[in-house]
Amino acid sequence: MTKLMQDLRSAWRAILKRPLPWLLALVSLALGIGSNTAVWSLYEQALLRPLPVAQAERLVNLSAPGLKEGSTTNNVAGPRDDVLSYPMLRDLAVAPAVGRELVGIAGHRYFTANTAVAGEATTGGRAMLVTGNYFSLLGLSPALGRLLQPADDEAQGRRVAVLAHAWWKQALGGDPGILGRSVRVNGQALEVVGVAPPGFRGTTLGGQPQVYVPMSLRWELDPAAQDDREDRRSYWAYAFGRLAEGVSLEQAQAALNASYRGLLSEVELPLQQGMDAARQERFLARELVLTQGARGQSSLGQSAAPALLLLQGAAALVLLITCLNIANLLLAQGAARAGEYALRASIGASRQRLARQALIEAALLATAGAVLSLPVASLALHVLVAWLPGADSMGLLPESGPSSLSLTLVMALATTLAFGLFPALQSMAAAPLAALRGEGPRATGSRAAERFRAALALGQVAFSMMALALAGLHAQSLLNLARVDLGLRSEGVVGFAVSPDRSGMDGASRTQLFETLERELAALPGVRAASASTVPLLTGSTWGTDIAVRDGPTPQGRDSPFYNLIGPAYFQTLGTTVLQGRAFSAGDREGAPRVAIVNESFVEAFELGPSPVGRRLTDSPRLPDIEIVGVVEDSAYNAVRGPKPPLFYLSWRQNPGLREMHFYVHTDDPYGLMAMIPPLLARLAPDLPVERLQTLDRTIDELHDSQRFVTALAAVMAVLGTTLSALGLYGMLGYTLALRQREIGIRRALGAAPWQLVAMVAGRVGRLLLAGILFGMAAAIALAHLGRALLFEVDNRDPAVLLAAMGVIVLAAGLACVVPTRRALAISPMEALRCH
Amino acid sequence: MIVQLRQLDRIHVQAGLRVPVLREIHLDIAEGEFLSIVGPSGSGKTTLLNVLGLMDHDWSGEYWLDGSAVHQAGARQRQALQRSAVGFIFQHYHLLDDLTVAENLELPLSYRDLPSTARRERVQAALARFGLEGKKGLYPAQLSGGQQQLVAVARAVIARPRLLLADEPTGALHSSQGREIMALLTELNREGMTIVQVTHNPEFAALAARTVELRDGVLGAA
Repeated sequence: MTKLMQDLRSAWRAILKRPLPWLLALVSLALGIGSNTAVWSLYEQALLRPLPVAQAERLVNLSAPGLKEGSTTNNVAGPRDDVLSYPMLRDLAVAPAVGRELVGIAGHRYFTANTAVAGEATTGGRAMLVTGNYFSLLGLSPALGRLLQPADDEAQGRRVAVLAHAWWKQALGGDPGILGRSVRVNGQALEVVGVAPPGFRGTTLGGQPQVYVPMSLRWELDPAAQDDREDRRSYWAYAFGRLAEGVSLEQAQAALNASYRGLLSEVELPLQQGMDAARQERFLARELVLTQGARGQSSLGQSAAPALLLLQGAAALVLLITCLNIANLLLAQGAARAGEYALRASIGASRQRLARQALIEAALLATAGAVLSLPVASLALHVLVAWLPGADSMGLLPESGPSSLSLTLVMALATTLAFGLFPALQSMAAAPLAALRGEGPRATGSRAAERFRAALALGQVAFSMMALALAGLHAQSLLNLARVDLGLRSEGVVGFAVSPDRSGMDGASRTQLFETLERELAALPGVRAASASTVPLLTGSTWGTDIAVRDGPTPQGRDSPFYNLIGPAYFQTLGTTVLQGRAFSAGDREGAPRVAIVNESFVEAFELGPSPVGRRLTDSPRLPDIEIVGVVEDSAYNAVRGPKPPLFYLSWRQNPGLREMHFYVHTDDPYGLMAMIPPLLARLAPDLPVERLQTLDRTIDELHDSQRFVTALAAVMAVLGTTLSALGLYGMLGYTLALRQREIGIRRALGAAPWQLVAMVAGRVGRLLLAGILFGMAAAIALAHLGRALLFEVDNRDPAVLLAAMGVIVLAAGLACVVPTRRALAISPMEALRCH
Repeated sequence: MIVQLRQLDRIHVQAGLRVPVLREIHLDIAEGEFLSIVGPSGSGKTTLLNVLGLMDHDWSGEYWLDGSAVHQAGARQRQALQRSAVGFIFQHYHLLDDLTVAENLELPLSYRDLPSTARRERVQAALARFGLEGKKGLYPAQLSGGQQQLVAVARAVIARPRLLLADEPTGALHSSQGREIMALLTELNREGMTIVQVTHNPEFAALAARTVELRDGVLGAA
């Protein structure tokens, strides 16, 4: 123990004596490990973390691949293979295998819902339909009240609901008096009987329901659902089971399939109409597939996997650079201390003792690195969660679990021991006498070792150049996207949506509401114009329909152009110029002659000639023709990139019964207006939540989220990589110049001027930089070519970007060289020679 | 006089203490003279040589080298003066391990901006003069100690300095090799080169025309 304390003291003194290399190694470790911990935390949350339920490893997901005739609807919970019909779910839940190989089988499916507790604002979100045994099969206990039970999910279904813990906290402030109160889900009142446990966010990653309701209420709560409760050809329900104690997944699958095959042949096959023998054979060959269900059911994790893998790869590269840095910095440190090790050895220190000392120093560094990496990881996590596309929908949180923290410690220890201890041991390997004569560093500084270190530094420079060039190319791309002429105004425009059909409002009331909203929005202070639009602009959504020009050609592939149903002030609101004819008026409503407005691309694509106004369009033989009353300039529709599509506009008032509507408002004060909209809607339709309320600029930003994420990632990598590379160059140069102290002394004694020595150092670094820059540039060009879909109007060899990246590298390298070079030149030649 | 030192003091500061290393040195060295500096270890011999060779500037007093007032010169002038007037021979040869014999010889010339043809000619002449033609492509590690010191002497004189300073030039050699090097220095002196050597060896010190002794930083006649 005394020896250990002695070694600790000694290690601490050694660190204090030459703090800079340790400090640099520490910074490298914190950056490298912190960024890896952050990425791992997200990866673990999205792809590896099991559900917070009892014995999650025994959960299995059911999938029913194969021929499915009829209707199939699936969502993010899984592909169409995974869904079952409701009758099949009920049959399987009482199959003989249940109670034997499986403890039970439960079903679930989320749907879009407007939810409100009496007296509180309505919020748009999701509700989860669950079978009565859902919570008990998961082994969950309520945070408040009770969870749903089998009796709640019988034929008629009790009108009860369980609130999600997060929503209860967020929307209702964790009100303990919620039990027994009424919650409205899509306009239907249900009694709150409990609150789900904290941390449980449903069995579908990305689902994040606000409330859990009995599955048997589906047809009352979801206006989009057909009455298919007895339809075996309508597939929509997801199912999972729990393995009985000691039963393997394969055994359960075999047992369940025995029932499934019987149900297919005896119950379902007779219901299939007009199925030929071959298809019948395929139908009967279907088998249930059971897969590990510990992480619930979701395809979101898999779809996020490429982005997360990209992140993980980038983080791994940063860690690699960190390792190289540690090796380089500590090699320099070891070289500088070779004499000390030799002296200790010459007065009797064993190699084990010296190794222990080095081990303690490395462990101190690793511990400090791990501690310092935690705030770095926390910062990186917050940034990543804010920037990672889909992080919000996946419910990713800026928090690190125990596995991430363990990983931090392991990485810190492994990095430091593997890359830090080795150089120290190498330095000790120098023959004591040679080291005492001052030849220690030379002993460890063989040509091969020098080449190795130069290769490390070259790799770092290449990585930095690559990351800088990629960041530059993507930043240029983002800039280009921001400069695109959209043909519409986004500045000062606020958008939002309403879905009154989910609150049980009938068609006439909805039309009335939309008209009132258009009028009242336009009358708000500061508002210049307001209009409805059925298509949410610049979100990727499109509406298309078959249409033809009466007595005109229909261009190949242009028979289903995009369209939008809009209000009279639409073009005024969005600043789109009417080139010919007129905009819509309030008189263009149901019963009036059908009218349309087309854009320039439509005129060109459908060869309408110089006078399109007055020409007629036809969309159905049963409906009257539509007269073109105006031509507008082209404008962006669903995307910023790419050519502006041929578009035609119809007056929404001529198409009654619309289920949901978007509104755009041009105002002098967008944020002031955003505060006025919820009270306005609350006055007009108390149960209706405001959905997707944000500025159009923000909507455009969201469209570029992936682009922004890759740019941010490349920028972060570039900053990290360049910082670490500069540190690496510093370490390498410090070490090389320490080894060359004698040579510098001789050269100065022989008459070399300081600038000649600086030129010598610059030449050495310059060659390395040049090689690194060339490699990095080639890699960047190749990667940018591979990811060219992400770049917008940027050449992957953009000279300005590549030159700028090169400039940053050279500047960073120059800064990294200043201190070691000055230090080397400051030593008098005689002192340098005396040392050797 | 090629060298004139007047009231020269050199003080080392060690752990906050001022330790005088050279005290009131007064020394004249005539052009073409061969001077030996002797004295016990720590007496200041090497420090004096470093001052003479313009590698140490932290002294007070007056120093005239080849008519130039070193004590008034700036760093650039001192460096130019060193390059034009001074050559060094070290006890441990201090050849550059990564350079061949020919490259080591060329090094001082490259710092004096000589055209490459002139450099090649001078290197060729030095190789011939010092009998190193057969070794010009070898690296220092492939030479004996005597041969390495021979290269070091050749390198010290290749730029034709007016003042050759030798710090224990035979200190790392055995006696026969030492004698060969001393013979070479004597020959160079006969050709007109001013030589100042620091040595512990009385036999080799005696080869100089004059010997001075340093004791505790004070210069006196030997």
